[in-house]
Amino acid sequence: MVRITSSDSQEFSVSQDIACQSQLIKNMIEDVGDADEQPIPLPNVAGAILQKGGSCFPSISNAPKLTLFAVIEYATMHKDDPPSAPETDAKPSTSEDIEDRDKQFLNVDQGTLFEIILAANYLDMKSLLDVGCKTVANMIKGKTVEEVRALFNIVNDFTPEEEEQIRKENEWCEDR
Amino acid sequence: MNLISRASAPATPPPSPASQSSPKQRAHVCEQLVSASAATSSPDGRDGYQTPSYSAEDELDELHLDELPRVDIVKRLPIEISTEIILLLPASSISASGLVSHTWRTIARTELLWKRICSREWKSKQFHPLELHPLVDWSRFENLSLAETIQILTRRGVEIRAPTKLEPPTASWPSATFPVRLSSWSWTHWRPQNDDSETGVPDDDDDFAYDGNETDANFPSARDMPWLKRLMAVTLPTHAPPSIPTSCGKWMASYVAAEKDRSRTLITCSELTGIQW
Repeated sequence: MVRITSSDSQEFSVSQDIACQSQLIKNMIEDVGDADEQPIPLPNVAGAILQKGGSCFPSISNAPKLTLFAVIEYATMHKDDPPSAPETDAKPSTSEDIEDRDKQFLNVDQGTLFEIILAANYLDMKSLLDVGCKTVANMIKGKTVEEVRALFNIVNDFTPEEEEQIRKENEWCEDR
Repeated sequence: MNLISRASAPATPPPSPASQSSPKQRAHVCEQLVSASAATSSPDGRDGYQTPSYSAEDELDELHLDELPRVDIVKRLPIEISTEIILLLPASSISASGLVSHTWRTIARTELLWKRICSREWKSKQFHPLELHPLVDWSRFENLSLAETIQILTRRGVEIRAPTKLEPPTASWPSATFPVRLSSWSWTHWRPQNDDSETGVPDDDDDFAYDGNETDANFPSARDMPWLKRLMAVTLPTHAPPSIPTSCGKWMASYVAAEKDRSRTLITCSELTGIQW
């Protein structure tokens, strides 16, 4: 078993093969040797942040999943996966090929998805980072600019002149 | 205090301030609980692209506590991850996403991103090195390197030869009115030269005995760029697709040219005769 602590001092105890899906933790264990003694601190990943409700951070109280908890859940789900094949140039990576269970897993609000991607990047979990990126790409795909702005609550910060110039750059893909 | 620090936060009107803070900052916040001094600027400093003018009141108005948080994920993530996300989209969507906001435009117009798109979309041309597309009026671009300029001219069928003392290049040559068609392009103005291996331009006239002393061994070099640019302008084939945007990078322009050229249904005489069967 490996003990890991989140930034808010929550301690999680997970089996080694699950924890080692994170390249970061794997390297740490290899460097330190036996990991039983000391819990591994992960200062960049929040575990359980605040109690549900009654906080001044509404999004956190809304977050249906807690980041490190969610990441462990993902790692547990994928612990029996074969080691990822070395990247082949022949197979182009598209955002379509997400497993259903991953799709289900990442069916969360944007704040949580953002936290999960950041955590996956920090923990160096390539497969989780990949599905996270694909999920965001699927959210964007097929949407108009206005829809993307509405999706992510983005304000159009272009002047009309700038907008005109970018529209010119985009002309080639609009007439198809 | 909290409101002041948030007023300098990113321009995206946050439905909730907490969704805007990175985990590190959030952790910081958690340690100090509600200590409001947590800086809300993103760790990678990309908020510097934004010049938000929101007052604290504006933000308060936009705190919709009942909605699920909507986060500008692409903007908040480190740029390398945002780039990977954008790269998963088809090229036309990537082009279009430049219209979303300034940050998105910065990501969606990165030179390296479009170079990767080109190498991805042109993967089938596996025996052809990744080069800029020749059917663009490159004389309107400033940031082409000497090697790229030579590549493009070579692909247009131009043989670049060094000038000689007998016929030095004049400032007005080649003139913009020079009647140039690729098929009729002739280099009678120039004498062949034996050694231009430094620039990687192959010289297939090794048996052409010519007095190399009269030529410049470093030809072409950076100081030849002005007339190489003129050459770029006058050798632009007549079938080059019009209205390639110049405000974007060279690789995006290359991609757009390739896309437009793909829908061309005729082959020019010079191209037909230029094919090495």
